[in-house]
Amino acid sequence: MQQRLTPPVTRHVKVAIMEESELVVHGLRAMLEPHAALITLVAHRADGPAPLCDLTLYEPHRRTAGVRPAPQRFPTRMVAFGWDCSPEAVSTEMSRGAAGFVSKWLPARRLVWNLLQVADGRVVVDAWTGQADAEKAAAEKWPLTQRETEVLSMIAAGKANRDIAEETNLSINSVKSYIRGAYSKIEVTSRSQAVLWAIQHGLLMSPEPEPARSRVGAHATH
Amino acid sequence: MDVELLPQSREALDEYVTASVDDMEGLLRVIEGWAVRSVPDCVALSVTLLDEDLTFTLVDREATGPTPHDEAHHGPPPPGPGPPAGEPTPLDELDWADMAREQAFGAIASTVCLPVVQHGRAVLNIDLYASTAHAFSDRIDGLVEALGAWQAGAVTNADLGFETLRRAQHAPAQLREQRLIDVAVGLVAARMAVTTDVAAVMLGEAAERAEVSVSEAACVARVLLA
Repeated sequence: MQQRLTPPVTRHVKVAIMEESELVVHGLRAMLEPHAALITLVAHRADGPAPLCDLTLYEPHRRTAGVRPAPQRFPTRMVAFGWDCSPEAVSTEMSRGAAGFVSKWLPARRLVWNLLQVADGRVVVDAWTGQADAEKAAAEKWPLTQRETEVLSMIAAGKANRDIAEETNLSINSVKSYIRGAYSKIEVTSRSQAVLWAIQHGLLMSPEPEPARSRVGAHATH
Repeated sequence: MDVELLPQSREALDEYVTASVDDMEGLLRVIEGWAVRSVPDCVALSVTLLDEDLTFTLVDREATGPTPHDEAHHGPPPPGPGPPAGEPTPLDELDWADMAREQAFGAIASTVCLPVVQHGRAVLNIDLYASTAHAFSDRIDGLVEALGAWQAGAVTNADLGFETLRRAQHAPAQLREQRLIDVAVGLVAARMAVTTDVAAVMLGEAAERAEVSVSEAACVARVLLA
């Protein structure tokens, strides 16, 4: 549901963004431009004077990587603004005293809303990523287990069952069981169909070309 | 009697996967149990999957003598011209198979082939081999009943030369070749955006035009398309 962008504060909010790439600074400025009556962006370099602002956005990853000075240096409320929205990343920044955590994946309206909330004194965590939803949906649709996927990709690469067993540390019977399970789940009845399915789903591994000549009698050397 | 899987049949079983039979070795052992109970002089048996043209064999080693695999592990082949050891050729394989069959000859005095029919179609051949001439006399009916075979299709003494042993020895090579072709068919189907049935026909036609075998065409397809 679309949120109405009713400002929680009546005053204009100035947001600084710390030492970000031009891409992010200009991108964010463009995103906030339509909401200029409520919020504006000021860029800030760590080695420059601290700007007068209500909030400061920082990229948690860059800070933790030692690139940035500590956020406490700024006399404004610090808001983590990152691509990595994992629970670990969020909890790390919040435990360090961030006033909020907002995802870089957020659409403009939602980002503005969150920043106005933080400027109004609320603690906001919005770690939404459209990507995570897409990945979750893809995982839910993927019919094979990790082992079945691994074995099927080896089948598509033309490996023998014995080679697969050796590489995966599985017994031959387990390998055959995974193959049967995978065939059943992807609804194929032959190896050719399984190879086609694997290619169509991006599982094909680099093949190991076999000599055309029959390797009859190779068992004697095993 | 100690009936064992031929080493090549063991190798073939490891590679063979079918959706219809979960445990092919288990099926072979069941057939063996029935055969040995019904025919005490049974010294070997072969099961041929007719759709795949694939044969698996179990032999009584004491009765039929060493197989080529035994020779490879326990003693050198007879001296003679040929490539150095460790570089087997198809010719070697045939020689060894012939030798093994000659050794088995002495132990085999009678055979029976029992086709198994499903939905009006023969799907399996069960070949039994015995060390006495009349091992199957008056036992065909019992075997047919026990194995669910087709009585009218039973043929006696048609494989005194133990041809199925040779076929079983070729099974691993057959499966390797089939694997190569299957992968190539999948690659062609993906590249040409056709079904695997159509891709198989395309590969066969390409082989014919180029006057090479399908497996050779599969090798080329795999190199070009993978």
